[in-house]
Amino acid sequence: MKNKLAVLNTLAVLVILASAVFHFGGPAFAKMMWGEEFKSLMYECDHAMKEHYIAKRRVEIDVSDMALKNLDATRLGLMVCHDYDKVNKRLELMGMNREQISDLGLEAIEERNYDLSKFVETHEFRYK
Amino acid sequence: MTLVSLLKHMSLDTSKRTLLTILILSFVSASFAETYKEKKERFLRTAAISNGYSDVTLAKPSYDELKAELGKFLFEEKSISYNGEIACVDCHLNEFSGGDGIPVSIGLNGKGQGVERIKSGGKIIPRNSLTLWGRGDNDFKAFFWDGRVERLGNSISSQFGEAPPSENTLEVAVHLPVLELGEMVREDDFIQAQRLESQDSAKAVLNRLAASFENNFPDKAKKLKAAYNIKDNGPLEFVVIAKSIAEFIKKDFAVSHHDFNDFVFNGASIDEDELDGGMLFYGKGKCSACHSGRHFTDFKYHAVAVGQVAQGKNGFGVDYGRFNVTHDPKDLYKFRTPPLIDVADTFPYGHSGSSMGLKEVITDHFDPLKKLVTEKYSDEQRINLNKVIKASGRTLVDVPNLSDEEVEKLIKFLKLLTID
Repeated sequence: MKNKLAVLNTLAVLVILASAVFHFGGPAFAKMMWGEEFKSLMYECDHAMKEHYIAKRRVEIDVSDMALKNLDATRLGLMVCHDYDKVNKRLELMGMNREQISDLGLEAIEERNYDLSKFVETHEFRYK
Repeated sequence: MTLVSLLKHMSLDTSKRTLLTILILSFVSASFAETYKEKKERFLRTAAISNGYSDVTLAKPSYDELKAELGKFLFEEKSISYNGEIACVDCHLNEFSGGDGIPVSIGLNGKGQGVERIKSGGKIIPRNSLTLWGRGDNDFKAFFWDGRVERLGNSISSQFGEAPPSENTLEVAVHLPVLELGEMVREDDFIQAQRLESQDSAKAVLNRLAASFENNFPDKAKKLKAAYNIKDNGPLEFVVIAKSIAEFIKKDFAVSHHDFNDFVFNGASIDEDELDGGMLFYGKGKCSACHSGRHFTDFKYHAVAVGQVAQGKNGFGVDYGRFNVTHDPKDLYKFRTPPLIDVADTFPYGHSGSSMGLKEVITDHFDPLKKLVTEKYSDEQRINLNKVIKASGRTLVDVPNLSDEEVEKLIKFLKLLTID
């Protein structure tokens, strides 16, 4: 009986430990492993979608051979969004929630901005 | 008695008489002839008028004092924002001539003024706050950087589609900032439910704003209803709030005078540099090709290769400008020609405030690569700038190279548009 209890206790501790690792360690591990790739793919996919939308509008407004070729090319360019989705799902499977993934997205946007604070630091603001 | 007979009566020999005649005639013709400066002044006045400039004193909008007074209260009152955190005046300050003196505005959570507001860590709005000078004029046709509220013939183009809340362009424009997420709206469950942009969702938010104001300020709401002849037992509608704010803008931001207006219509004199600057503006510099009319804008859309600061309306440091309104690729990177009234006091310049001074923004029109310090630009920034330069080449008149001295003269001319 004692042995059984000991086994059950050990199992419970292991489950708690595994759950803690999954909830806390998993997201951190996922961010470390695929965070940069996710940010890069997010930018690439955003760019591809914008290019595709502009190409589509160009065909709708003023169709030409070049506009159609451009649209076909941008359609193919959307493949990168598939890669983005795959990494996104991988992050979710590793226990990252929507907010954590959104934060990564925000980091991606901020990294590729002309940072406002930096702009203010490098330019002299002189008010009357 | 003629000059000749007068000279004959004088006891002078022929050569002295001839000399005296020439001297007198030169003096008389010089006193009647137009000086070079006067000629340039005449040319400048004519050029201004032929480019649509008209007397600002004749275009002052009429307003109702009581409605404008209530509008001032509303303009400065935080409770007209959804979460009661921010007022119109937070980004349209008198100290900055109706703008906010920073590259792009800081919405929710922003504190203080100027650089202090940026450092306070509030929500960054992707566009530079515009001054409000002249917005009350009936001929002010397009609002915001991308003209998302615009008068087209007898109708108004806006996010409200075929049912704008008012027939007045300014009043429609006043409706938009209070609906903008991050700018004046913090997301909660109610806003989440209205997230899908539609006229009904906008109406639901606006109704809630008006009801909340009426709840917080019953006396003011009563006065508003009385001013607009609305039955006291009916609900206050946001359009009444917007009308009242518009009335305040008509009053407080009316362009009643500036030195250039005095020069064109009242014969006031300007100095040589200002005059040369004006000749450059309407002449060699071709500025008036777009900066025309009484507000110094054609209310059309052009791409100018100014830089991009912050995230941009389209994210990742990109702002497609007018394209976001029309979805026509021809409008990529275009923005409404900014009016120039009080331009010297409304820095920074450009849709994201990337140009710190007039010299910089004028130079962007003819030598945008001058600012390009490659090591300071990221790949995305440089590529984006290249796209804007290409768009600007397709749309902008070919502005010739201007010397530093010419740019300085243009700036002196632009300072004539300052409102004291």
